[in-house]
Amino acid sequence: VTRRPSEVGQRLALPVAWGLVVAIFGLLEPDTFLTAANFQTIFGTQAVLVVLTLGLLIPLTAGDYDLSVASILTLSAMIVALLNVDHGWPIGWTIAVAVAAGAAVGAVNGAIVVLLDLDPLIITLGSATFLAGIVLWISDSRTIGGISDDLVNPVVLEEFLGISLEFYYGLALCIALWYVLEYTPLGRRLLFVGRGRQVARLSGLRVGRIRFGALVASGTISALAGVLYAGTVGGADPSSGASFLLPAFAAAFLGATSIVPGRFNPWGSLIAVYFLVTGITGLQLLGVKSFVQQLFYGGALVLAVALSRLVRGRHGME
Amino acid sequence: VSRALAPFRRPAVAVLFVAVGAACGGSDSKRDAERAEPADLMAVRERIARFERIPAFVPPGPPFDAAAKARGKTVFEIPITSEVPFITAVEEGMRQAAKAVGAKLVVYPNQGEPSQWVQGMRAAIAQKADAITLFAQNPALLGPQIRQAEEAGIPVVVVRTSGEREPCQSDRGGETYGTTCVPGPFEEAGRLEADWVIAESEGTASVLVITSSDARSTVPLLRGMRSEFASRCPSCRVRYVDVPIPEWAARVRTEVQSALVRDPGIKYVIPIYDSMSQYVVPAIRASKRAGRVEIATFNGTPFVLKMVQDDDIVQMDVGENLSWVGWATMDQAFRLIAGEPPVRTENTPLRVFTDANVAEAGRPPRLDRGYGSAYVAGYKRLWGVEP
Repeated sequence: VTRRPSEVGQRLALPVAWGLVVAIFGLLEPDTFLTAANFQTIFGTQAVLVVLTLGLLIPLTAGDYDLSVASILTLSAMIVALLNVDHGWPIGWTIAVAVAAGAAVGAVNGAIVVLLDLDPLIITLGSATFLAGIVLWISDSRTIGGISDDLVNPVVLEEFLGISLEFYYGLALCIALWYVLEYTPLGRRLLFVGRGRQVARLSGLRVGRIRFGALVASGTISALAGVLYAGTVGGADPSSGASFLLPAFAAAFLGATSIVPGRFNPWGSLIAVYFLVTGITGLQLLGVKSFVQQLFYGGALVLAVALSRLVRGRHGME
Repeated sequence: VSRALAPFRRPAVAVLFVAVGAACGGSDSKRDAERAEPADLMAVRERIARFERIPAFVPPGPPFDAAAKARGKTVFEIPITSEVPFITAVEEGMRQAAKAVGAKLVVYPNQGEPSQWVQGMRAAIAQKADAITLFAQNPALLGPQIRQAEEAGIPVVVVRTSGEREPCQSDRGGETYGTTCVPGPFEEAGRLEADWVIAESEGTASVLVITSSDARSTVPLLRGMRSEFASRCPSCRVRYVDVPIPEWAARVRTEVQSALVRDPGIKYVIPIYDSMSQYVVPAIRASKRAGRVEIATFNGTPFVLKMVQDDDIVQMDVGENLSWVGWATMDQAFRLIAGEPPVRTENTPLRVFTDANVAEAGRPPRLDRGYGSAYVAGYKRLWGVEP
């Protein structure tokens, strides 16, 4: 298939916008922005958001919203902190329990959505609130700090090329997800289900099972993001994880306008996360008022959804 | 060395929170009327009168040559959030102080998310700041980054997460978060809230106290308040209800109204932080108790000072000069940069605002009015900027 020039433009719009942002802030503050240390900061501190966004992509590709991802992240970080700090469990076991809990929440979400044929938007909104309550309950509303270095070291303190290892975990997950979505039958089926549920069903795909699996996957990956979060801050608190929900959706939708326009895709999302954080970091280094950051973030989200709608045009995502 | 011990580190915070949470879960510290002792009215009245005056500057430590040692140095400030006027006012004071000695202040604006503080710490280390100040956020969520900063030779000042009489916040292994801290006058604020109620009621108060155990400052504040009620007014009846900060809008009003129904004898409500007043005042009005139930509170937030000026429900608000707090924070940072030993406390003062003096806070009240400006000359003299 030959590509029209406009399509190439669409594919590269986001990376070009990213380059523009870098250039603008580079001109405004060459001494602080255009330094290796600044880019190490930009790349090294957003792995949690990258992993969460990648988890979210899976149900989005299958045509389902999962609003519980940020709550699963909080639950998982709190499980790690509680078991490790309060009960002295070794890190490995706490991670296993946290990830199992994430998968279990995903399974409950999926079972309710598929078996009862309910709207996942409402079901995951409900389970998100339910989980927030559970987190407050098990943590006694406390902030728990002092997580073992066995987790903190391999997440933030150890670096490769000056960038915390967590960045590479996000990158590895991105490559894995890209491979699964692009080159395996499973990835293709996921996409079919997202593009047209009835057609997929008539073609013999087990639509329910695939949607269920997508929600289990997003639960599991969100829990991994929670583990990274606990390692990044060396602790957990009952509320701040919720603040990742909007940025994750923003990155997923913004990513869907690029690389493979019109489709949620891992590389687009990865670039979107770093595009957004580059803009925010630049604004923070300039010391602009806090509200400007929200203008940037909120504006980018609206723009992303509008653009992805325009780009979708002929091939609807559902 | 400390890394080997790391798995055994536990935050003391958590323990403190549990202690407070358990102690204020709707407990009733009603005392037996029989063994009630008379309240120490003389003492509480004297204290209220003293704190109603414009505060004087008490040097926090010995003078040092900040003018020479801190000139051209960079202090990197990461606040808990940039979205409240309180923080902006403190940072304005920090900026003035930096200007006074020719130092540079870099503020890292954020929306109160730990992941942003992490990024701010990384930025401070990358820019090779000479000192980092963490304003009011829980340092337990920045453990790894504080360690990275200290390994890079950057001192970290943890501001206002401890009370004036307690040690700097530390983890469970007893290791202090950051190089040093600047405590806030929280115990004193709690004592003054109690004092005013004791004085007004002449030692017969029946009080509802609304706490928020999720704020670090609540622990020392309640310690001060409890000890004051216990020692100065054993016959006062005090009931504590805990409402976490995110639930203020949803729960404070109903908690107050149901408490007033359950115990019509309640004459005073102490929302320990004054921003809760916006929910307490409507509750008192809705219960038809305006004029009979009064509020004493803490923070000196302008809209609450305006309530003191305008109506008869909020009667007393303990305020703090936030610009002074900013200068005090910089004093501690400059001391570390200059290689001086840090001071134990900065002596930032409180002022009691009542109908008698609230006009001095301005009309409408402003964050920086009503405290005098003794600190500007005081710190400048301390730093060798002015003779």
